[in-house]
Amino acid sequence: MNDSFSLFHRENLTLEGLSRLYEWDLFVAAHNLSERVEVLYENVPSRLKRRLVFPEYGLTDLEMTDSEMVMVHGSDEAESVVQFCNHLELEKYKPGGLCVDITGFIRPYLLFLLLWFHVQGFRRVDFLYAEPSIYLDKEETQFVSQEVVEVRAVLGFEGSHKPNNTRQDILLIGAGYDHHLISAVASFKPDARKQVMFGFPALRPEMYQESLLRADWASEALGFSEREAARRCLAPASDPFETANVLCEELQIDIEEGTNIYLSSMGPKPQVLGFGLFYISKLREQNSSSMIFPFASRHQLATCKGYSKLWFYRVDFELLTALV
Amino acid sequence: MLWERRLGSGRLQDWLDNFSGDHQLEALYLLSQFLYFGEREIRQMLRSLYRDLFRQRVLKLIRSENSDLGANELIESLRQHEESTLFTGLGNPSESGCHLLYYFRQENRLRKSRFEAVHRFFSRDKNTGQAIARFPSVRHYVFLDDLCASGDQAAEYLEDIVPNLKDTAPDAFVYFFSLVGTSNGMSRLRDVSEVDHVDCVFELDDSYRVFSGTRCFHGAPKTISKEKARVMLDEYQSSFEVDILGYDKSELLVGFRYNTPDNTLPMIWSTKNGWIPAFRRYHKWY
Amino acid sequence: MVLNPFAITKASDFTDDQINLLWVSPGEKQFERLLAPSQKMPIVLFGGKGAGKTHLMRYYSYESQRLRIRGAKNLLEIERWLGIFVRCTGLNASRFRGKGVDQEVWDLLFAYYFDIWITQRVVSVILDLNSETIFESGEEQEVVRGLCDLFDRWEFAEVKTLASFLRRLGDIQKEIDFKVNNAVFRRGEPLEITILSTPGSLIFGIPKVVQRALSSFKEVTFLYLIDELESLEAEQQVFVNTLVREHEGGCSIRIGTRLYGLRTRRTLAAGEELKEGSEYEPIQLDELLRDSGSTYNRFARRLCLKRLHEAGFLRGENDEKTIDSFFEPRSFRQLSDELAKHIRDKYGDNPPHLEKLRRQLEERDILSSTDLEVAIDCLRCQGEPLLEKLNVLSFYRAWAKGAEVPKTLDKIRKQCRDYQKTKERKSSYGTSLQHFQDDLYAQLCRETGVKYRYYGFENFLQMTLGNPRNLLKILKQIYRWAEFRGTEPFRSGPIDRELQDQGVRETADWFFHDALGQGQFAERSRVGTERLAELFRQARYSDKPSESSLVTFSTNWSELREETRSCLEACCSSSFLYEVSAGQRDKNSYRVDCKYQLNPILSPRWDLPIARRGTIPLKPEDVDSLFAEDPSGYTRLLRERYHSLNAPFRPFERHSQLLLELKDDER
Repeated sequence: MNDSFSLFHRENLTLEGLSRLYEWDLFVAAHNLSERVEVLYENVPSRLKRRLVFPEYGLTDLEMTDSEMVMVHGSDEAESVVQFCNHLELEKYKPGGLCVDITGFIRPYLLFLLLWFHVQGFRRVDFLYAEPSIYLDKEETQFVSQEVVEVRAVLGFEGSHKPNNTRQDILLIGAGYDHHLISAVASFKPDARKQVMFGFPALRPEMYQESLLRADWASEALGFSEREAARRCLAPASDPFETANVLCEELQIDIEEGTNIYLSSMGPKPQVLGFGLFYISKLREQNSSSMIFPFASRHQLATCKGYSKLWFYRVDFELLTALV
Repeated sequence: MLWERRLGSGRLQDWLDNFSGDHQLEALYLLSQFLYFGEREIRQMLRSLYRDLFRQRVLKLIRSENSDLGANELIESLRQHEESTLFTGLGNPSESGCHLLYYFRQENRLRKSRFEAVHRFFSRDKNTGQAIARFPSVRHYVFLDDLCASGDQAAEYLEDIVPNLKDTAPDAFVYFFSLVGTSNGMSRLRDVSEVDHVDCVFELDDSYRVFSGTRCFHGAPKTISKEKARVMLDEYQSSFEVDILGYDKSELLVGFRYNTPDNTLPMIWSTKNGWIPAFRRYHKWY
Repeated sequence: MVLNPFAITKASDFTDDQINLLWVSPGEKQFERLLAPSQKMPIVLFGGKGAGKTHLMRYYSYESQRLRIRGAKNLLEIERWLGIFVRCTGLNASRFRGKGVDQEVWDLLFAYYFDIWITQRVVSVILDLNSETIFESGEEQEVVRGLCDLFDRWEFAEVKTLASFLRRLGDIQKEIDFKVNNAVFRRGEPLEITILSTPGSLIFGIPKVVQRALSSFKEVTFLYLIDELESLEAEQQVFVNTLVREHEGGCSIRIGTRLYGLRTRRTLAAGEELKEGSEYEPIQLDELLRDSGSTYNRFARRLCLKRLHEAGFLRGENDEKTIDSFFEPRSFRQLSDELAKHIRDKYGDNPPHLEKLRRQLEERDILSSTDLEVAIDCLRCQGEPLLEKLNVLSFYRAWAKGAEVPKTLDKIRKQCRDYQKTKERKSSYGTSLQHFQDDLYAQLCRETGVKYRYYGFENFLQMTLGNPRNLLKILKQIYRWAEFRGTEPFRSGPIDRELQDQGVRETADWFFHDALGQGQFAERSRVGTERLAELFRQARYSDKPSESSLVTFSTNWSELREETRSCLEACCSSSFLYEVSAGQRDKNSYRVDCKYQLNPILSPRWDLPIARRGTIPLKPEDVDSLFAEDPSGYTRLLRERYHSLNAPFRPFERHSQLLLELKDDER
């Protein structure tokens, strides 16, 4: 059992608890109209607050009412992140005082942001995640409106793969609800061995079963044969650090042997954070690995209702570097 | 695939045949809402229990005592705490709470010496004859169970044991963790004053109750209605010895690989009066 | 637990070992020799998902060769070629763009990178062969020298062995990767990468160097198998096209791509495009398999048998047709007899189709009530509901034309009686019956509450039309269902029709969802397919279907909107539709008539036939409406057609004319 990431601080809090224990200089969230993002934004204890508006959510100018809103634009996720980081002067917060709500963040942006913090030499950044109480359409929930424009590596997470026969490559997918995305990514690397990570314990117990069902739709692309169970792995849906631990464990041999590793995280945001942390600390140096993602032109806005739990994650970048 | 292939179409049909034709649709819908924890899931929950419920609390305790520990010191302090922990199950060793201990120990690679039966927590002072802690260096006593539904049984048990424990080891912390718990059960146990931490991996609040809750029928197809299903179930009450809504009217639809708790609707597990179960229950002999 | 013998359906799920084992020669020279290295002309192999393109290419790869032939020396002497198989997706080609760098720089860099990438593969293959020491003394140094000389600049310390040369190549690649990946943090700064060789010089140079320097390789051709071209951008493909065009002796090139994956035919030589036929040969694998008829059927049967062998269900030699015996066969005769009995039992003398006709005639007040009975009697055919239906259909046709009722009835009755007596298939009645019997049977099923089922191995072959993967998927689903039901498929007795039908329908559903590709038009192509299928369904179950077994339409390509064309291409890429004509569509050509068929594997979703016969011509604006975002055009089309295909067969008219109609009726 791999423990390296267990030391990171994570906590399950209420809003009151949050206010009692912490206070930040700048709080940044992704605006997506969902209740939980709003509730958190209103109540988080921070001197300054800013909302990022991602173009994929398709919010019109009319909805840009607030002076605290920052429009995100750029030709790709890297350019966009660098642009808003500069705009918000995030470098000021390198020693601490910055808090990011990852709830509404679009995954590639979140990954690049994490990398940016690391490359820029940030000491510490806090992250918050608000769990929904229920997904709107249960099993039919779709977060992305169907059209995958392309599958490619997330900028910054591109790696240097080896040209040996790709049959031995491994693709580890963090499963979300969108089976089309899982299929798209799996079809991109048809020759790789596939493994799917499910969030368990899930945010809600029935979500696990629901995600299994959705993944079954993608089972052709995943190449699952009767030996399905062997290619599943589980990591807690709300814990990025344990997710990173599980990844260490699952990929230990592949890392040692220098296999081409492809990761794709399409599950809940804490899982995405975990994948990012794992990549930065364990794979970036090792080199023959990349994080791929099915990029879509649009994302749906309110896919979940309600607000249940709040999670706090403290990423100590010095500790992260020590793990490399 | 979802239920470890336990319910093939033959068995499924047999179970459905318990119900008359026009009730079968409702019965099937209810079955589809059943939350099943197979071997893989249970093992993962046991890991989560140790790692997320127990270990994180210890880390929090360490950080509260000393907020600026470096990584190495943190690791060492954690190790020491983990060495001074004892795990035990609720109730009789043959009950499900205790057989879980074996898997719990395996999954988390813990040493045997971390586990003791409750009566071994105590020994007698040779001179005074008083009860004393057998392992005085233990700082954490952890009680484990699989399901805490009403919480009554666990509360009774703990109310009996814990005060004595605290008497003999006043600085120790006492924990109760279960894999699955209802909100009612959890708060019942939190009321047991001497237990320091009560938690579970999956908490089922009232919204999980099949009929008085909101989740079960949320998003159901239009032909299925909660009211119809409830009325339908009443017709079968006579087949069951337990309340149609499960023991203590818990209204649960939960099952584990090794057993189905009686808090779950008996239509799932009953074998009485010729009823064919979907996921049978192995009874406790009290 | 017994494993499903059809469980793994994708070639990429197989190890090389399994591919060799499971490789079933398609049986005809045309397939075995398909990619044969002896053919010097480069080949571009187009294959949809499941056509077996990758399987075929991997069969020619070095890894498979090694498993087929023992001993490095033998390999070189017997086969005289080495298959260098690369998948373009491994390059992660999407990295070579943006990041504030000029596209021209990217394109040049990509070409160089591609060269280095393939070269590494070639060198590792040679090294692998030499693990059995096939080099003679001094040869290794000579080949290494030759390879280094291919570079314009060699900046490394002298390399003496192939292994260290390979390592150097790895270093070059890593350095490029590092700089390319980090360009994202250094936007606006120039990429500082030195290009050490002219792109293409390595890939073409190596075979010559090797042939010259290594005696055991004197006669050996290098077969470059470049798969998944579609993952490269257009500008990147330009480079590959150039390689194809300018390929030199000592090697052959085979490109594998999805349908429509060849984004451009441009090459680096200004203004020059790759010329089909003279500079490369395109092979449409799907079409080849589809049109191969009995060849594919034999191939498919052998493939399934082999699977069953591997999984332990069969032993020894088996006749090809053994596989058919595992499935309850579908006999139209049997089905129509069963249906006839069912109708007799349930409806007696008043089957629904006659009742419906009666009702329709009454509503229109066309005949007096006594005449009505006479008419019905003329069309009646005791105990032969199909003939009855055909009679009714003929009547409907006459009605629509406005023919005289008595003459019509007389003619129909006579033809029917004659047919019953002689069973003469060549009569017009007989021919009509042949053509329409499946549609009529389907209608009867619907009208009398019987399920129309898809089953019988022969029908699976027809449904999968040359696509082995789809066939395996159907069988996999059937096996799963049979297992779930507690039966023992392939062990005891044929699998019954219900189970087969279930598996087939599930596969159709899966296919419709899985095949959804990527890109802008994916969603619209799916919606368009659905609308088209509805159109076909409407026709099939109408009173007067204009065509029999309708799953095909034709239209004038040149008048279609640009978006519609892209949608049609997307449909073909996803294999929702097949283009019923040879060759890949040339975007610029003036092709007047194009024909598309619904993939028969989807037919069960809409209870459509799996065999195609008739074609409806659709106006370009109608085809546009199928794929338009606004559904109103399509709704109108559906309505119009409904009215022309169903009693009273009046073409749908605008409401102003409806009033005139009403006036007429009042008269």
